[in-house]
Amino acid sequence: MVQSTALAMRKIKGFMQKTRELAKAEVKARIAPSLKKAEDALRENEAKYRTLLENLPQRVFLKNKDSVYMSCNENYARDLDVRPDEIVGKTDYDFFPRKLAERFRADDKNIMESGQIEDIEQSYIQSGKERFVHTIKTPIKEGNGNIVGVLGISWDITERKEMERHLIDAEKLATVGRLAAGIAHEINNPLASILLNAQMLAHTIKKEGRAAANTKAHVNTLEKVERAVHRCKRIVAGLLAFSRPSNLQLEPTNTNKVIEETLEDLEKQIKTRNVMVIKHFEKNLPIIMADGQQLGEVFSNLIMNACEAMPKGGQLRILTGFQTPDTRTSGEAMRAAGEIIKIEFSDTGKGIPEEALSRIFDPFFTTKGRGKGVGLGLSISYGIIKEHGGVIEASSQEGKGAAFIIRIPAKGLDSL
Amino acid sequence: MNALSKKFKILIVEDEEDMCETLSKILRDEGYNVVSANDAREAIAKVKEGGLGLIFMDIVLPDMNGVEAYKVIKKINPETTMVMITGYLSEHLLVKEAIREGAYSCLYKPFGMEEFLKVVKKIMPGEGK
Repeated sequence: MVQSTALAMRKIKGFMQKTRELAKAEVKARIAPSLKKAEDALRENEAKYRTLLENLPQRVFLKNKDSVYMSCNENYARDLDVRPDEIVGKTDYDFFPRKLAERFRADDKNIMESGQIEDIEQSYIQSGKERFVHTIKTPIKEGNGNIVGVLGISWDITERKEMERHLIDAEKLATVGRLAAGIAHEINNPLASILLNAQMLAHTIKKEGRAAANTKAHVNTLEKVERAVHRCKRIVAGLLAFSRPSNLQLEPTNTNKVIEETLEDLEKQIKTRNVMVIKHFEKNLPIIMADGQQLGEVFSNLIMNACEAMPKGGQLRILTGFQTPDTRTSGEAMRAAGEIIKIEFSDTGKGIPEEALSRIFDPFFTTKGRGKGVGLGLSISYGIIKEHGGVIEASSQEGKGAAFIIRIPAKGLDSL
Repeated sequence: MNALSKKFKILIVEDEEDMCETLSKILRDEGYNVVSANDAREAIAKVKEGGLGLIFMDIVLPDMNGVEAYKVIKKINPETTMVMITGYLSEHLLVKEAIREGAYSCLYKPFGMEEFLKVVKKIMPGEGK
């Protein structure tokens, strides 16, 4: 019985052994090919993504949640002067100066905490040259939504930055050039008058001698010289108004009152040109912190321009009012203001040609004839309003008049 | 040019009155016959009247620029001898355009009396004193 049991056991063991072998063979025969297939597919897939990754002009890297590199493409590795497989396990501290590495790590941390994608523009010095890099860092999430690392894609934007800088330099140069040409033109005119009149007088005196001097004609010539010198003086004073630093004498100002005073000062000029002034003043206009004298200069410029645009008479409407700023309001100081006051001057004159409208605040730009305007009034006005944290805008329909609207923040001037 | 006799006038087109008067006086003192205009419209009207031997035309005028005015004047009288006057530099586009359009020359402010008269004498010899 014992023997037979032992025999049975052996048989069972043998059977089981056989079954295991068979199963192994079955697995080998059946599963192995599909396993290999899966492995091949995986390898193929990886190669595909590698190809994709390596052919991107961008630098791509992957870091885990401790900001340790897990992978990168050739381009990124080349920038760091390593092979792509060498980056695994390293951190930014292995490649960048400590301060920069700290900044990168702080960015990674922010992105992983917020879960938001971030665009970062950074500059660093490489071989003594400043380089600019644009990087998009994306948090990597697992299936359950947990953030496990950061994917970075970056590209060099040094060339673009240099082009932008050249463009700005060129624009600055062009502006300075235009300004210089404007100054030269304006000064050359009175200079010509001075030179010619002085030479003419000298010539006449030499020719005629003292006895034959025609005093009246000579005085007339000298007066021309004097006027030309005064013109030069006005141009220089106007230019200095640009160069002087902000020196506003701010005090609580009633804008309506400033307009009234300016109108009184200009009463004669307004009357002789047959201009009718129509006032729509807001009685409850907020008192603003402003330099009344300088605002008066602005109003005076606008009123005189309007009068000169209406040589045969016309209407000048002056409107004041106020509004509350909203998110669409342009300018930081304006948005911060509790209220914005609005002053509008509109005339029924000849208007401003469309092509002139965009240049109307440029220094030395004038649509008036020479000898009538230096072309600095509006650009000085623009500067004064800007110093008050406000804006001035012009609109016009040729032949139908022009309108100038000034907006100044009533409060928040302390932040200027 | 010698055919031009004293009956020919010189037109000064300059919007700045003092400058206009000064240039006119210098020419009159030298015995020339002078007329003047303060804008392009007035200048074109003077050209239509005829009898001009030479025009001095400022480039910046209140109604149109001097080069545009020159183009209009050329249509009325293609033989017009035009000398531009300007406070701009020779590189200015309008100065270049004027020369391309056939202007005799350009006087750059501040030019002196001698330079001014030299041009007149060259274009209208025997016309002054």
